[in-house]
Amino acid sequence: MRGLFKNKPFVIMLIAIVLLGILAFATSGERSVSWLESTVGAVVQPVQTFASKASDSIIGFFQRIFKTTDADKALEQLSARLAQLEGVAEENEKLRAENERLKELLNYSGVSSDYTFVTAAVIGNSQGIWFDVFTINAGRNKGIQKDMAVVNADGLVGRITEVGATWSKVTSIIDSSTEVSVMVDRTRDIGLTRGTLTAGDDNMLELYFLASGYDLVPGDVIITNGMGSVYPRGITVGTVTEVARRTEGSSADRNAVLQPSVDFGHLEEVMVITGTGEEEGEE
Amino acid sequence: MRRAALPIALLIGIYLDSILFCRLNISGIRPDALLAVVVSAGVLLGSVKGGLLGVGIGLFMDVLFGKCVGLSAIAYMVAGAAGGMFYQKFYADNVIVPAGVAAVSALLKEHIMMLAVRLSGGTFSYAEMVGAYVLPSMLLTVALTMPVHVILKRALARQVRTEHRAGRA
Repeated sequence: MRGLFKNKPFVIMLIAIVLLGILAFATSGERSVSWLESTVGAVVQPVQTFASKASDSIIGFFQRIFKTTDADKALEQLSARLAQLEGVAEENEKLRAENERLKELLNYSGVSSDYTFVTAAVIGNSQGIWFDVFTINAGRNKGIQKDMAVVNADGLVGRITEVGATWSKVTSIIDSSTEVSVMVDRTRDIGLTRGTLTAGDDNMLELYFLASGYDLVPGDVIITNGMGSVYPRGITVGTVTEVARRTEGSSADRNAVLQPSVDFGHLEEVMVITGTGEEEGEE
Repeated sequence: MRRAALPIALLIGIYLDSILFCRLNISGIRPDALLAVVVSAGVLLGSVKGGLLGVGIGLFMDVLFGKCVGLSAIAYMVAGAAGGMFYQKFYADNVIVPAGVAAVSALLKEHIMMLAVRLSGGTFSYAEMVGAYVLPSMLLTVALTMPVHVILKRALARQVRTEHRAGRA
């Protein structure tokens, strides 16, 4: 054992582990992005944006392979012309889908005229399933600030937790450490949602702290209640899928399980709420 | 081209881990491409280079995509250094060695992440996460490490040979 500590590289690695552990602890809370991090992100952001867009094509390619039968494959090999046309059709389909997504976002921003938005593309996600954090290609250059709410046409996505020069990190509402103050749209009962961590990609939320005697049924829509300064009031968070049995005297027990209104598995573009219409008017 | 093999492998790893595997996975189960590259590089180039490469790429991933800076860096550094324990050993030509190191490193990395989630207030069933996510993901990482090591070994053959000769001298 003593010999182990005479091993210089081993000791250096131990020190590095301790230092990195301290760094991880220090950066786990609320903090500002350093200039170095901001610069690294700014350099990588265009490449990531390109790679993210390109991956849609790659995914489409794989999906085509898995969905194609042997006969189709043979036909594809024999007919170069057909493949060319398929390529054009696929490009059109991609553009149509992108057009629809952007139209939806535009419609949403039209409907929610109370807010001003910045649209951004998702350019990268955190590894693994432990944290639901993703990076978008808009930062201080687009007026993004920490703690701004992030939405898409379906509802609440999350909030900005780190801002770089041309990129920002968003912690989604399904992250296990994220809590959102909400209310039941039908009854106006106030509660709190929390992300869940489960193996698999069934992203669910849990609803807590409803007042005793709450009235909740599957299908109830949960919206933000506007308490706190992060999430504006009235944004859809999710729908109740399962109501928990009421238990006496245990306020920590969850009241319900929610299906988030946003499909986090296919998140490509989001909108950051940069302000309210009123604020703009005042300026 | 051969000199660029490692940077290219890392770029592909970053792309796979941060974009593609997040969209294409089996119920959340996905391999760790960067871990495969770092372990393989460690076995081929030694503990110091492997460890440094691990810290560098780990910090890069943490800064750009992680929730806190340092967690992936610890895991990748240990993975690179552990791979280096088999550097210039005659049996390091076998893909089983990097695969084994990748398996242990993947387990370590997932447990570091698990601990971080627990400390940040997240709740989950340990047995469920290990059975349904950690072990299947580890197996995918192991499966990916084998071809990655074969490719990197060929690409870095000249550099490895030179270092072998220098080591003997």
